Amino acid sequence: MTTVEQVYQKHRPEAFEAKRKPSSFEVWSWFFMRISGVLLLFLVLIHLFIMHLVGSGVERVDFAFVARRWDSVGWKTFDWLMLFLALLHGTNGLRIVIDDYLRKPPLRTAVKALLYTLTVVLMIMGTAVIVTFDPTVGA
Amino acid sequence: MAIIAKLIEGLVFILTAGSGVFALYMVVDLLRLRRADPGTAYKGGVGQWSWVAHRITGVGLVAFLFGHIVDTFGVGFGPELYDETIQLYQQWWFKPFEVLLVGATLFHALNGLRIILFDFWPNLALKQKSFAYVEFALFIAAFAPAAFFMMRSAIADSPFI
Repeated sequence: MTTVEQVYQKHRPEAFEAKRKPSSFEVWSWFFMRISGVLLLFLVLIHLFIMHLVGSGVERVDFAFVARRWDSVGWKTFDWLMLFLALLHGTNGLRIVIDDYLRKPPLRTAVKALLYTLTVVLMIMGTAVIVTFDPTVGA
Repeated sequence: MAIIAKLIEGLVFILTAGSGVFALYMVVDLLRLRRADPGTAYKGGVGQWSWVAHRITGVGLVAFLFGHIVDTFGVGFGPELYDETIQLYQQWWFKPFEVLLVGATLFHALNGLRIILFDFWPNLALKQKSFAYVEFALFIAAFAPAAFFMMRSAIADSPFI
Protein backbone atom coordinates (compact mmCIF):
# COMPACT_ATOMS: atom_id res chain seq x y z
CA MET A 1 0.00 0.00 0.00
CA THR A 2 1.27 3.41 -0.96
CA THR A 3 1.23 5.98 1.80
CA VAL A 4 0.99 9.72 1.34
CA GLU A 5 4.55 9.97 2.66
CA GLN A 6 5.87 7.66 -0.08
CA VAL A 7 4.09 9.69 -2.76
CA TYR A 8 5.75 12.84 -1.39
CA GLN A 9 9.14 11.09 -1.19
CA LYS A 10 8.90 10.21 -4.87
CA HIS A 11 7.74 13.60 -6.17
CA ARG A 12 9.35 15.98 -3.64
CA PRO A 13 12.60 14.25 -2.55
CA GLU A 14 14.11 17.59 -1.53
CA ALA A 15 11.51 17.88 1.23
CA PHE A 16 13.10 14.89 2.98
CA GLU A 17 16.73 16.02 2.88
CA ALA A 18 18.22 16.36 6.33
CA LYS A 19 19.60 19.88 5.81
CA ARG A 20 16.57 21.38 4.05
CA LYS A 21 15.39 24.77 5.26
CA PRO A 22 11.79 24.66 6.37
CA SER A 23 9.67 27.41 4.81
CA SER A 24 8.90 29.82 7.59
CA PHE A 25 6.13 31.36 5.47
CA GLU A 26 4.25 28.07 5.38
CA VAL A 27 4.70 27.63 9.14
CA TRP A 28 3.32 31.13 9.79
CA SER A 29 0.50 30.49 7.34
CA TRP A 30 -0.38 27.27 9.22
CA PHE A 31 -0.27 29.14 12.52
CA PHE A 32 -2.34 32.03 11.18
CA MET A 33 -5.06 29.65 9.96
CA ARG A 34 -5.39 28.19 13.48
CA ILE A 35 -5.39 31.51 15.34
CA SER A 36 -7.71 33.30 12.90
CA GLY A 37 -9.92 30.18 12.79
CA VAL A 38 -10.50 30.24 16.55
CA LEU A 39 -11.16 34.01 16.54
CA LEU A 40 -13.50 33.73 13.54
CA LEU A 41 -15.41 30.96 15.28
CA PHE A 42 -16.60 33.55 17.81
CA LEU A 43 -16.83 36.55 15.45
CA VAL A 44 -18.76 34.79 12.68
CA LEU A 45 -21.11 32.78 14.91
CA ILE A 46 -22.05 35.98 16.82
CA HIS A 47 -22.50 37.76 13.47
CA LEU A 48 -24.74 34.99 12.12
CA PHE A 49 -26.73 34.85 15.36
CA ILE A 50 -27.46 38.59 15.29
CA MET A 51 -28.11 38.87 11.55
CA HIS A 52 -29.98 35.65 10.79
CA LEU A 53 -31.60 34.29 13.95
CA VAL A 54 -32.50 37.00 16.47
CA GLY A 55 -35.60 39.14 15.82
CA SER A 56 -36.96 38.68 12.32
CA GLY A 57 -33.54 37.71 10.96
CA VAL A 58 -32.23 39.07 7.67
CA GLU A 59 -35.62 40.64 6.75
CA ARG A 60 -35.02 43.53 9.15
CA VAL A 61 -31.54 44.39 7.80
CA ASP A 62 -31.51 47.64 5.82
CA PHE A 63 -29.54 50.88 5.65
CA ALA A 64 -31.13 52.22 8.87
CA PHE A 65 -30.25 48.98 10.69
CA VAL A 66 -26.61 49.21 9.58
CA ALA A 67 -26.50 52.92 10.48
CA ARG A 68 -27.75 52.14 14.01
CA ARG A 69 -25.14 49.38 14.48
CA TRP A 70 -22.26 51.40 13.04
CA ASP A 71 -23.09 54.26 15.40
CA SER A 72 -20.94 52.31 17.88
CA VAL A 73 -17.17 52.12 17.52
CA GLY A 74 -17.33 48.65 19.12
CA TRP A 75 -19.43 47.12 16.35
CA LYS A 76 -17.35 48.92 13.70
CA THR A 77 -14.22 47.34 15.21
CA PHE A 78 -15.96 43.96 15.45
CA ASP A 79 -17.00 44.09 11.78
CA TRP A 80 -13.61 45.29 10.57
CA LEU A 81 -11.75 42.61 12.54
CA MET A 82 -14.08 39.99 11.06
CA LEU A 83 -13.51 41.37 7.54
CA PHE A 84 -9.71 41.40 8.00
CA LEU A 85 -9.43 37.88 9.45
CA ALA A 86 -12.06 36.24 7.23
CA LEU A 87 -10.62 37.69 4.02
CA LEU A 88 -7.04 36.62 4.84
CA HIS A 89 -8.21 33.20 6.11
CA GLY A 90 -10.25 32.71 2.93
CA THR A 91 -7.50 33.90 0.58
CA ASN A 92 -4.92 31.67 2.26
CA GLY A 93 -7.33 28.72 1.98
CA LEU A 94 -7.87 29.42 -1.72
CA ARG A 95 -4.08 29.64 -2.23
CA ILE A 96 -3.78 26.08 -0.96
CA VAL A 97 -6.75 24.90 -3.06
CA ILE A 98 -5.12 26.49 -6.16
CA ASP A 99 -1.84 24.68 -5.39
CA ASP A 100 -3.76 21.39 -5.22
CA TYR A 101 -5.73 21.62 -8.47
CA LEU A 102 -3.80 23.85 -10.87
CA ARG A 103 -0.65 22.00 -11.90
CA LYS A 104 0.71 24.24 -14.70
CA PRO A 105 3.00 26.96 -13.23
CA PRO A 106 1.94 29.81 -15.60
CA LEU A 107 -1.77 29.19 -14.93
CA ARG A 108 -1.12 28.84 -11.21
CA THR A 109 0.76 32.15 -11.10
CA ALA A 110 -1.92 33.93 -13.12
CA VAL A 111 -4.80 32.68 -10.94
CA LYS A 112 -2.89 33.50 -7.74
CA ALA A 113 -2.08 37.00 -9.03
CA LEU A 114 -5.79 37.50 -9.75
CA LEU A 115 -6.70 36.22 -6.27
CA TYR A 116 -4.24 38.49 -4.46
CA THR A 117 -5.32 41.52 -6.50
CA LEU A 118 -8.94 40.77 -5.66
CA THR A 119 -8.08 40.39 -1.98
CA VAL A 120 -6.33 43.76 -1.86
CA VAL A 121 -9.21 45.47 -3.68
CA LEU A 122 -11.83 43.88 -1.40
CA MET A 123 -9.83 44.71 1.72
CA ILE A 124 -9.68 48.37 0.63
CA MET A 125 -13.41 48.41 -0.26
CA GLY A 126 -14.43 46.83 3.05
CA THR A 127 -12.14 49.01 5.16
CA ALA A 128 -13.20 52.18 3.32
CA VAL A 129 -16.91 51.58 3.79
CA ILE A 130 -16.53 51.01 7.54
CA VAL A 131 -14.10 53.87 8.19
CA THR A 132 -15.80 56.52 6.02
CA PHE A 133 -19.38 55.55 6.89
CA ASP A 134 -21.73 58.56 6.98
CA PRO A 135 -25.29 57.87 8.21
CA THR A 136 -26.67 60.96 6.43
CA VAL A 137 -25.47 60.00 2.92
CA GLY A 138 -28.21 60.04 0.28
CA ALA A 139 -30.75 61.55 2.70
CA MET B 1 -28.96 52.77 -9.01
CA ALA B 2 -31.27 49.90 -9.99
CA ILE B 3 -28.80 48.58 -12.57
CA ILE B 4 -25.92 48.61 -10.07
CA ALA B 5 -28.03 46.75 -7.50
CA LYS B 6 -28.84 44.12 -10.13
CA LEU B 7 -25.15 43.84 -11.08
CA ILE B 8 -24.20 43.18 -7.44
CA GLU B 9 -26.98 40.60 -7.14
CA GLY B 10 -25.71 38.99 -10.35
CA LEU B 11 -22.19 38.80 -8.88
CA VAL B 12 -23.55 37.01 -5.79
CA PHE B 13 -25.42 34.62 -8.09
CA ILE B 14 -22.30 33.86 -10.18
CA LEU B 15 -20.18 33.26 -7.06
CA THR B 16 -22.83 30.93 -5.58
CA ALA B 17 -23.14 28.96 -8.82
CA GLY B 18 -19.34 28.87 -9.13
CA SER B 19 -18.86 27.33 -5.70
CA GLY B 20 -21.56 24.77 -6.56
CA VAL B 21 -19.60 23.83 -9.69
CA PHE B 22 -16.41 23.52 -7.60
CA ALA B 23 -18.18 21.22 -5.10
CA LEU B 24 -19.38 19.01 -7.96
CA TYR B 25 -15.90 18.96 -9.58
CA MET B 26 -14.23 18.01 -6.32
CA VAL B 27 -16.59 15.11 -5.57
CA VAL B 28 -16.49 13.77 -9.15
CA ASP B 29 -12.67 14.08 -9.19
CA LEU B 30 -12.38 12.09 -5.95
CA LEU B 31 -14.79 9.36 -7.03
CA ARG B 32 -12.89 9.07 -10.34
CA LEU B 33 -9.56 8.81 -8.47
CA ARG B 34 -10.91 6.11 -6.19
CA ARG B 35 -12.20 4.10 -9.13
CA ALA B 36 -9.00 4.49 -11.19
CA ASP B 37 -6.61 3.64 -8.37
CA PRO B 38 -8.17 1.42 -5.72
CA GLY B 39 -6.15 0.65 -2.64
CA THR B 40 -3.90 3.73 -2.53
CA ALA B 41 -4.30 6.97 -0.66
CA TYR B 42 -7.98 7.56 -1.48
CA LYS B 43 -10.05 5.09 0.45
CA GLY B 44 -12.87 7.27 1.65
CA GLY B 45 -13.85 7.03 5.28
CA VAL B 46 -15.05 9.66 7.69
CA GLY B 47 -11.71 11.53 7.76
CA GLN B 48 -11.50 11.96 4.01
CA TRP B 49 -15.13 12.99 3.62
CA SER B 50 -14.68 15.53 6.43
CA TRP B 51 -11.75 16.96 4.49
CA VAL B 52 -13.90 17.12 1.32
CA ALA B 53 -16.73 18.84 3.23
CA HIS B 54 -14.26 21.24 4.87
CA ARG B 55 -12.86 22.28 1.51
CA ILE B 56 -16.26 22.58 -0.23
CA THR B 57 -17.73 24.65 2.62
CA GLY B 58 -14.55 26.75 2.75
CA VAL B 59 -14.67 27.61 -0.96
CA GLY B 60 -18.43 28.30 -0.70
CA LEU B 61 -17.94 30.60 2.29
CA VAL B 62 -15.11 32.58 0.71
CA ALA B 63 -17.15 32.94 -2.50
CA PHE B 64 -20.04 34.38 -0.49
CA LEU B 65 -17.63 36.58 1.49
CA PHE B 66 -16.39 38.19 -1.74
CA GLY B 67 -19.96 38.99 -2.82
CA HIS B 68 -20.91 40.12 0.69
CA ILE B 69 -18.04 42.65 0.84
CA VAL B 70 -19.18 44.11 -2.49
CA ASP B 71 -22.83 44.36 -1.38
CA THR B 72 -21.82 45.93 1.96
CA PHE B 73 -19.72 48.47 0.01
CA GLY B 74 -23.12 49.73 -1.22
CA VAL B 75 -23.82 51.07 2.29
CA GLY B 76 -21.41 53.90 1.50
CA PHE B 77 -23.76 55.13 -1.28
CA GLY B 78 -26.84 55.51 0.89
CA PRO B 79 -30.14 53.71 1.48
CA GLU B 80 -31.39 53.82 -2.12
CA LEU B 81 -28.72 51.46 -3.48
CA TYR B 82 -28.16 49.32 -0.37
CA ASP B 83 -31.81 48.61 0.44
CA GLU B 84 -32.47 47.57 -3.14
CA THR B 85 -29.36 45.32 -3.31
CA ILE B 86 -30.03 43.35 -0.14
CA GLN B 87 -33.64 42.69 -1.16
CA LEU B 88 -32.09 39.65 -2.83
CA TYR B 89 -31.37 38.11 0.58
CA GLN B 90 -34.90 38.84 1.80
CA GLN B 91 -36.81 36.90 -0.86
CA TRP B 92 -38.54 33.82 0.51
CA TRP B 93 -36.79 31.62 -2.07
CA PHE B 94 -33.37 32.79 -0.91
CA LYS B 95 -33.97 31.27 2.54
CA PRO B 96 -32.66 27.76 1.64
CA PHE B 97 -29.36 29.35 0.51
CA GLU B 98 -29.18 31.32 3.75
CA VAL B 99 -29.74 28.08 5.70
CA LEU B 100 -27.00 26.41 3.61
CA LEU B 101 -24.68 29.33 4.43
CA VAL B 102 -25.30 28.95 8.17
CA GLY B 103 -24.86 25.17 7.90
CA ALA B 104 -21.60 25.54 5.97
CA THR B 105 -20.27 28.01 8.56
CA LEU B 106 -21.19 25.72 11.47
CA PHE B 107 -19.61 22.68 9.85
CA HIS B 108 -16.44 24.53 8.83
CA ALA B 109 -16.12 25.97 12.36
CA LEU B 110 -16.62 22.66 14.19
CA ASN B 111 -14.43 20.68 11.79
CA GLY B 112 -11.74 23.37 12.00
CA LEU B 113 -11.82 23.05 15.78
CA ARG B 114 -11.36 19.28 15.44
CA ILE B 115 -8.32 19.82 13.16
CA ILE B 116 -6.84 22.31 15.64
CA LEU B 117 -7.24 19.82 18.50
CA PHE B 118 -5.31 17.16 16.53
CA ASP B 119 -2.61 19.67 15.53
CA PHE B 120 -1.84 20.78 19.07
CA TRP B 121 -2.56 17.45 20.85
CA PRO B 122 -1.54 14.75 18.32
CA ASN B 123 -2.47 11.91 20.68
CA LEU B 124 -6.12 12.83 20.26
CA ALA B 125 -5.84 11.95 16.56
CA LEU B 126 -5.78 8.27 17.55
CA LYS B 127 -9.45 8.70 18.38
CA GLN B 128 -10.21 10.73 15.21
CA LYS B 129 -13.34 8.72 14.33
CA SER B 130 -14.96 9.28 17.72
CA PHE B 131 -14.14 12.99 17.45
CA ALA B 132 -15.76 13.08 14.02
CA TYR B 133 -18.97 11.50 15.32
CA VAL B 134 -19.07 13.90 18.29
CA GLU B 135 -18.58 16.73 15.81
CA PHE B 136 -21.48 15.52 13.63
CA ALA B 137 -23.72 15.26 16.70
CA LEU B 138 -22.80 18.81 17.78
CA PHE B 139 -23.39 20.02 14.22
CA ILE B 140 -26.89 18.51 14.08
CA ALA B 141 -27.70 19.83 17.57
CA ALA B 142 -26.76 23.38 16.53
CA PHE B 143 -27.93 23.34 12.92
CA ALA B 144 -31.39 21.72 13.27
CA PRO B 145 -32.94 24.38 15.54
CA ALA B 146 -31.26 27.21 13.58
CA ALA B 147 -32.60 25.85 10.28
CA PHE B 148 -36.07 25.36 11.81
CA PHE B 149 -36.32 28.96 13.05
CA MET B 150 -34.98 30.39 9.79
CA MET B 151 -37.24 28.33 7.53
CA ARG B 152 -40.38 29.09 9.54
CA SER B 153 -40.71 32.69 8.34
CA ALA B 154 -39.78 31.75 4.77
CA ILE B 155 -42.49 29.08 4.64
CA ALA B 156 -45.03 31.57 5.96
CA ASP B 157 -43.98 34.10 3.26
CA SER B 158 -43.93 31.62 0.38
CA PRO B 159 -46.90 31.62 -2.01
CA PHE B 160 -47.58 27.93 -1.38
CA ILE B 161 -49.25 28.41 2.00
